[in-house]
Amino acid sequence: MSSGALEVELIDELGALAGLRPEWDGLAVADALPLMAPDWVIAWLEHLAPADAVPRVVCVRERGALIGLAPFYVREGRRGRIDYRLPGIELAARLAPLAAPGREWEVAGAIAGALAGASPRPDLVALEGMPPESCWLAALRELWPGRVRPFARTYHVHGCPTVTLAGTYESWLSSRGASFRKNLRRRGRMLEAEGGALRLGTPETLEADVASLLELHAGRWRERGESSLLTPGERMPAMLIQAGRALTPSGRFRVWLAEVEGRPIWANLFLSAGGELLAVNSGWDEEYARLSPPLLGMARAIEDAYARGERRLDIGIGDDSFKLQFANGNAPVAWGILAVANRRLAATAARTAPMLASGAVRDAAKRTLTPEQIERLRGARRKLAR
Amino acid sequence: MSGAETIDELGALEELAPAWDALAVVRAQPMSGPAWMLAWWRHLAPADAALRAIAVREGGELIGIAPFYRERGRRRGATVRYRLLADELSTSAVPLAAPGREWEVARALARALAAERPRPDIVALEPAPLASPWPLAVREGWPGGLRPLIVRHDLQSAPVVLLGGGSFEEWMARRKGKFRASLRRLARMFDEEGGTSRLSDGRSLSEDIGVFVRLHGERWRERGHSRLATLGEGLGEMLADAGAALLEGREGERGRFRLRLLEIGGAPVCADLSLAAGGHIVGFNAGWDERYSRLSPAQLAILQGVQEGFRRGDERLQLGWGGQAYKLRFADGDEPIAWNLLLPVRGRLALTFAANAPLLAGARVRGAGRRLLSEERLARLRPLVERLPR
Repeated sequence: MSSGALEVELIDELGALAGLRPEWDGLAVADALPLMAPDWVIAWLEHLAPADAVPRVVCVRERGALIGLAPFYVREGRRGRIDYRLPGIELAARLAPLAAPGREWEVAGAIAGALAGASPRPDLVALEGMPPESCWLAALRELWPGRVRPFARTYHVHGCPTVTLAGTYESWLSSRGASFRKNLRRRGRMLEAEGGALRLGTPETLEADVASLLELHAGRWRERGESSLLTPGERMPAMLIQAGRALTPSGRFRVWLAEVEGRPIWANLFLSAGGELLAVNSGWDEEYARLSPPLLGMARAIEDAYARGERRLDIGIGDDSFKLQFANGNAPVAWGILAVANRRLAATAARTAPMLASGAVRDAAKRTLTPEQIERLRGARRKLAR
Repeated sequence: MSGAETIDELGALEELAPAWDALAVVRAQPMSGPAWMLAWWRHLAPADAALRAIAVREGGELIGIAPFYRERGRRRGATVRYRLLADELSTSAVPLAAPGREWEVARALARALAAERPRPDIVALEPAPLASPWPLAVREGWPGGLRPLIVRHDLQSAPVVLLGGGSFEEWMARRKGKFRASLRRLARMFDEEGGTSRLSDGRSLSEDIGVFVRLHGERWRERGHSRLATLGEGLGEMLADAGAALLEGREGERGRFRLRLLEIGGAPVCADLSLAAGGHIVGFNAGWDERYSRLSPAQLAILQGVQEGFRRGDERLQLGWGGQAYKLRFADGDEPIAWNLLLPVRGRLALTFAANAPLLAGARVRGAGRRLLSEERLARLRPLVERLPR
């Protein structure tokens, strides 16, 4: 390239990350990856990271300007395996290292070099919930220093329905079926008749809105099994409020709520960056199922995204019928690993095999079983978990 | 989605050209459009190739297309390979889908391919940007319990010049001082020798393509293997066909066939061909007269291509495969190109691997060479490496 040599720095102190915020955020916006924004990642590292996780953030600079950043954390996994991961996959997917547009390949070379020389030496680099069109897994493998490249495998792909926000909200709405539109109008009238309304959270209502979101989510999931939003307990609202304080004023942290006479009945958290809006998670009160608050709320969030000139809404993992009624596309996310060819490779392979095998079984089941059979299996698993 | 339809008649595929071209423009894939691919089919397709293009429609509207052909060796039980039209000479070739619909289209393609008879042993999705979702998407959409294997058998640099967000002067200012000085010196020398530059138009197209083919052939005659030079007269005919279609495009789409001629005293010294669609310019190849090597005509042609791109408001110029030093001096980034094969898991899988062992071994040799050898050694071995099966 015409550029000079790249400078690579490996940061392992949380405190050192704050100074990177503006440039780091510029990359998250340029790459349209809301979950990789510094305010989200740092809040996760401060509140939700496992106790033994240590940041290993690779910064790649050219003539002083940040052109790449990979906010890994390192953790000793089962039986001493050293794993490097990106933060937050339990909350939502579409995670990837960041690079200035067109520079991914060079940045990947710099990241590969930094990881290969990092302490502790990685046995496994996990890229979970990455956009499959990103080249990171292949690039890290190809550019890993040394004679033997790491073993790379994409072991799981999950669909994410999307709404491409082309045209106008009205044109999107008219592309949905007549019964969808009729239903939307009818439920809207019903909500209004019961004294209900939709509103977008503000910096002033942030704490109450996060509490409502988690309470509604808990209410819905109490009977349905585990939820990653609930497992962290009090650490979860702390993380969301920290990220929300930084991102709500710019409209990049959005909690949409439906309320009836001031009582929240639905809440959904969205994150945005560079024209990409991501639905992170939601909760709603099943007592108000007749009003279909998720339907009304999602449509309102889509209308708002059009008004803001955003390009796409990622409704999140899962091809359930609720999401598909809004979607006009699908942008899956993939799970990949890089197993480093070091003297512990055999042990790494043995310890990774169950994960790969369970991924293969899950995929094979999805390919060969009917949706009803899969739902029955899920029900059985939930019962067993209880 | 109404599903996939396999098209095996050229006339039927030609009827899809306007909608197909619209997809090529919206996906910024100039070498996956109908003008380029159909021209290849008409002039360069192997005699025993069978057209097997798959079109995916929704409500009558084309939302995806994979213009495949089937290739089958003459021997009994030979590998049945589905390839994209023009893949042998394109810088990049991919199926096309409306934005956001890639995975649905891939699923429909996969099902159509799996239902083909004879069944594919190999589906070649190459050469394609490494960032292309197609290999994984077609693999995931393949019906049945077992998904095809993906074999990536080559990966090459493809330096890119980013043209958006600034002017040509700003872009130049970001180059190294020494490089800028060198370009200025070359341009001055070219001017002093009475050099002129022009883009081919409808009137000069046929003659200009003759020049391109001649200069490319003469340059490579002494240097070893060139995949273009082996194509014979068909190459000129194909380029003339594609050029005519793209130069006569609709208003606003003209100028997608950019054959740039550098001439000194009216005699051509360099011909450089790129294709454009949707703001993305992709370099195809060039030929130049070695007697003028002191003027570095290939570099001057790239420089003028960059200027042209800025003038037209294009977004990026891809300089073709290969990370040669002269390309890297122009480039702002790298968007590598990958060669991917999908191998459906069936009884003949072992046979397919065995039959394609030279190709896969060639890839290993190339990959190992790139990791272990210096740039200089690689450059010396390049003619040999080019002969390895791909």
